[in-house]
Amino acid sequence: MSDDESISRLLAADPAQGHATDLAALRRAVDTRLEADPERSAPATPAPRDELAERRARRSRRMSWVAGAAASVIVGVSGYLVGAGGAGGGGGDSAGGAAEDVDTFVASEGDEADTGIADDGGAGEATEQTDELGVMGGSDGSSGPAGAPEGRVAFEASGLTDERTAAEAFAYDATGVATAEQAQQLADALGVVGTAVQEGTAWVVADGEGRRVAIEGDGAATFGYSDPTVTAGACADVRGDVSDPDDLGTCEAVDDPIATARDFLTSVGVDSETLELVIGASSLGEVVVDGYPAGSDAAGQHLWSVVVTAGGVSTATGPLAPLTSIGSYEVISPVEAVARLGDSRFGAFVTSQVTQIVSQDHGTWTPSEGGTLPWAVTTHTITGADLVLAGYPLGGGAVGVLPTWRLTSEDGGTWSVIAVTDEFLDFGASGD
Amino acid sequence: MADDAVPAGPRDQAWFDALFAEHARAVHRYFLRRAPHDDAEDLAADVLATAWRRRDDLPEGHELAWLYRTAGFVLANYRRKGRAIPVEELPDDADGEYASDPADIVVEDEAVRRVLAELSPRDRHVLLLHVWEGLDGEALGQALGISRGGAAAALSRARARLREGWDDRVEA
Repeated sequence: MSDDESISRLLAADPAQGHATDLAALRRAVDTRLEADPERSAPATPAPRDELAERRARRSRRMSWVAGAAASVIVGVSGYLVGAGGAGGGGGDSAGGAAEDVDTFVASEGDEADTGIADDGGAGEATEQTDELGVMGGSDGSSGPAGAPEGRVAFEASGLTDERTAAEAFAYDATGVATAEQAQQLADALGVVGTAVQEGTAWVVADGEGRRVAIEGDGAATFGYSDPTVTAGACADVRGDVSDPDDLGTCEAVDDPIATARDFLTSVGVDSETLELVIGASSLGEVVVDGYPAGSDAAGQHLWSVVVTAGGVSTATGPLAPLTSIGSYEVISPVEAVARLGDSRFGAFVTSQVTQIVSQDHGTWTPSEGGTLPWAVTTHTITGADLVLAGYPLGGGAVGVLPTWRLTSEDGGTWSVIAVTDEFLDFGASGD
Repeated sequence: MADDAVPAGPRDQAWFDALFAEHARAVHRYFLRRAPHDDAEDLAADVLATAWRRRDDLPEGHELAWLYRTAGFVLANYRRKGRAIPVEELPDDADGEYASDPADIVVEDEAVRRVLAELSPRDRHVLLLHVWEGLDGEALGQALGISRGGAAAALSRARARLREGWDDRVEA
């Protein structure tokens, strides 16, 4: 018997064949081991975050896309709203100033945002960036009431400025967008043959093959499209567990997904020049193309998401309502923002969980009559502040995209709070 | 086998993310081949965590070979202790004595399994790195911690022993 046969039999006997690697689980296992280390992974040279000039420069860079985009029909983030408390927007408003439920919600079908506790970003798969802008949309999936998720917390500012500034604010104007006529027009443009019907507050056109166009009646007039005739599902099932990423099995490769996504967006009237199209988390036979605000360097929350297969666009979602500027608003200082974290009227929300849990030594307490009671409070020292934009429901289905301070603490947590000064907030307004 | 995908430059988080994206699967598969599958993920995580802690040690352009070498140490430690624990310093395992327990090399092909078991641990070590991990030349030398020439010689011997064992098995 030849050398070749023994080798080829050995090769064929590879025990790893047919076994997939769960990269996300593996990455979590790695991060768990590293978290216990004193030298936790950190960037080589963290940039200073409390330089006023640097903040201004970053802010003007980030704002420029919004200012330019407001002039055209652009699309803002769909549905990552603060305080909406449920799909469809407009909900969750409180009466009488009680603390709002700041659960995020997912406005449209097929939206991939988590609504669970946000990762600290260490997981192997594509996690959302939690700093830098564009995150019009507020949180990346955190949940839980503001400021108090871990119980007894206090915040203090360190190294932040107490200078106030101003920033531009925006609002979606979904008026007249979610209508039967608009839905029909979009369906015609995409070749979906059917009549627009109302489903809840959405207008929907569906054809006999399951292709569907929908415009939600939410504050961003969220668009949803699905075409089951071109999904990659079947070929992915056949392939099973092969772990070689280059082996497509029976799935066809997707040719130029970005161009396909761009063409699609143009057909539904979205000016794709205002978007930066980037390939996002993709799987077998399907390429996800995410649209970020142009000039945002694909950081923060994406606005549109188009999934492309060899057969074409299989799903797409994004906001159709134009974003319009509502002018320049005075903005509180970072120091004042830290104070707001403790004031539940402002509905501050956790954007990313604290990564370093400091175990507290509770000691032992012996009961004694009239003695003081131990009441350990976790203090987060806020050392970083970035001015970003986030979406907020304003009642009646309206959505504002407003200046927001994104505050980061030394122990790796991030909180966001509305940055507009008190003078511009009508605390007595009635809810939805 | 140069690793073009892992960037040169500072060994920061971005570097590690790239290293992970490029090689985590290979490290995991190394253990799928040599240890009970339930432990493979833990063992792979140990290697990758070590890669971060010792990030300045990874030779640029040969990161994967370093990972395999470290995997060998982790595997040896696992074999001695019977469970996956982080490797700190291990004596150089030049003989590949602890590289794997044949019983853990779960190969369904019984003929192959028997022939493999008959090889010396050293031969098995070299051979599997070549046949299953696809290492050759410089990369094989680095993974073994020996020179390229030494690796070629070791591989040649191992293949010959495999062939002999195979022929004996078939003729038996």
